[in-house]
Amino acid sequence: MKRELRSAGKFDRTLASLFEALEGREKELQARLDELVKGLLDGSITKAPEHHPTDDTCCLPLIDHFVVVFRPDQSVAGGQDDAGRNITNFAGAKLFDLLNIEEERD
Amino acid sequence: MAREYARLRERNQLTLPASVVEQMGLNLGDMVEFSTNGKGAVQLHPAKIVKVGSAEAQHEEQDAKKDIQEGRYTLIRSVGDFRKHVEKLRKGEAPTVAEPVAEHLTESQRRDVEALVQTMLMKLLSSLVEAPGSSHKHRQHEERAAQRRQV
Repeated sequence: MKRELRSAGKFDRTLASLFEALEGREKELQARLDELVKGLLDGSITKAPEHHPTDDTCCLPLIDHFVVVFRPDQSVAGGQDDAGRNITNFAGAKLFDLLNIEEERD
Repeated sequence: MAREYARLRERNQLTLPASVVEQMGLNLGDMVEFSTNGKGAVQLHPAKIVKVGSAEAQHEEQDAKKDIQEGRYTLIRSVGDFRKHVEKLRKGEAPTVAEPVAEHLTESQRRDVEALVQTMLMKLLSSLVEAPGSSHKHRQHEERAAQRRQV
C-alpha cells in the first residue's frame, strides 16, 4: 500500500527548534525520525496512543520526553495498552499529517 | 497593524519589543523563525516545543491543521524525502511543497502510449510532406503563368 506524510509548516518550525535544542545529538534525533517516518510509510507502525480523542490525533515517542503528534486519515479504536491508554489502530491509513512535537508533562 | 522599532547592534543583535514578545507568547530560551519573502519583508514566527495537553499545544496543533488545509506542507514519500526535507530546515531554507508525480505506467500502457505517439507523428509528417502529384501540378501552373506573362 502506498502511503504519504504531509509535514505541516508548523511541524517544520518545531522540528527545526528541536534540532537546535538538542545540539550535539542531531544524529540520534535524525535516526529516530527516520525510524518513525519509515515505520509510518511502510506500515510497520500500525498503532499509537491516542493524543486527543476528539480529533483523531495520535502520538509516538520521539526522543527524551518529546512526542510526535500526527493524524492518520483512517483509524479505529485499538483497545488499551498496559498503561491504560487508549490505542488507535491506523493500519488502513494512507496519509499521515505531521502536526506537532510536544514535551510530555512530568 | 501595530508597528514597533528596534535598533540593530553589534553582531546583528536585536532586542524584540516587549509587546511583540508578549504577543508571540515567547519565553527565555524559546526559538524564533525568520522567514523572508525575497522582497525585503521578514516574518517572525515562534518555534518552540510545548507541553502535551496544554492549551498552547492544542492551539499549535490547530495551526498545523490549518497549514495543511491551506497547502503549507511538504509531501514526504520516503525516508530519503524526509532526510532532504530536514536538511533544508536545518540550513534555514524554505521547504518545498512537493508536487504529486504521475503514476508509473504498466508495460502494456507504455506500449499503447508509444504506438499512439508514433501514429500521431506519422500523420503529422505525412500532412507536412507534399504529395508527389501536387508538386507536379504546381510546376505546370507556374509554367502556364509564365507563358501568359510572355504573351
